Amino acid sequence: MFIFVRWRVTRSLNIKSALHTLAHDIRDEQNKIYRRTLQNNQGYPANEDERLYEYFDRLSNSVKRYFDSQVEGNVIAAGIRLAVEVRDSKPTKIVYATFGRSAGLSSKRAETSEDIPSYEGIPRFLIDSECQGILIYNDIDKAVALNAFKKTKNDDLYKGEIVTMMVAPLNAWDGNKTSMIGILYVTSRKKNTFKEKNVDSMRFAADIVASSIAFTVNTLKNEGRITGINRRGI
Amino acid sequence: MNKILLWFVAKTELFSCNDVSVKEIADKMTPVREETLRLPRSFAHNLRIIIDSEYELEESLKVTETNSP
Repeated sequence: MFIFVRWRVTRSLNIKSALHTLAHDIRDEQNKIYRRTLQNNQGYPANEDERLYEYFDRLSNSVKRYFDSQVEGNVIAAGIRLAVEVRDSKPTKIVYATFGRSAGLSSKRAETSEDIPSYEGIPRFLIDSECQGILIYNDIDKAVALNAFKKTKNDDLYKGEIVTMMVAPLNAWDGNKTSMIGILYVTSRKKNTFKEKNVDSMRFAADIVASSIAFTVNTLKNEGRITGINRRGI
Repeated sequence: MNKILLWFVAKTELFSCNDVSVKEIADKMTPVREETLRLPRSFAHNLRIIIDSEYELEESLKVTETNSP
């Protein structure tokens, strides 16, 4: 009995610690941006897009750590897709491209990563549903068979990495209004990992990550630090 | 519960915390034109990206120069 209580207390403390890490990193990143603005961006590197990618990886790792603390075994990974405009597409096309990956997902994925058009798969469904709700995929193959999930090349190349997953819309200020600026994925190598009890945690993670990304991208854009972004891994 | 479910938990007018199966979701996926979707155009424009196979970073896409050391 005491062993169980001790285990529960340790688990609870780990979850709180992971939550703190997530919020801490976001606060530090915002402070960095404020400091730069104050110093007129002097002394900072020009390759802002690469630094952005690193930040999105860090965010993914913090989200991974948060869910790792809730789920048994080291089976969790996280990824972030963001809405990007495909340059020179006519009419202008918007796709959701991967910008952040945590540990647990192969870094080689970047070489074969595919973008998901806004009118297909998960983006389309979430946009149709007022960009609300959390999706939990318990069997991806069957979801594909039912046309509820669009498989990409990486799903076949790295099959064991994602067995089940939870997906949330990243809703935040897009510069003009609140909209779905991205999608947060929390994945597992194990079957039946995610339950309804994880949904509120996912909502929290999605909200705080969305808010941070919107602030970072919109501020850097307003400061003239980014005018576009180069494709990673190319 | 052997059938595979995709749980959709939402607080919208359409789905008030209902769980919807994959099939129900798939049935909703009718073809649509992109311009009819509510998209984050302004945000997406900030992150314009080169998607084609050339990957040449054009002048207009270059990151603004700063006084980096």
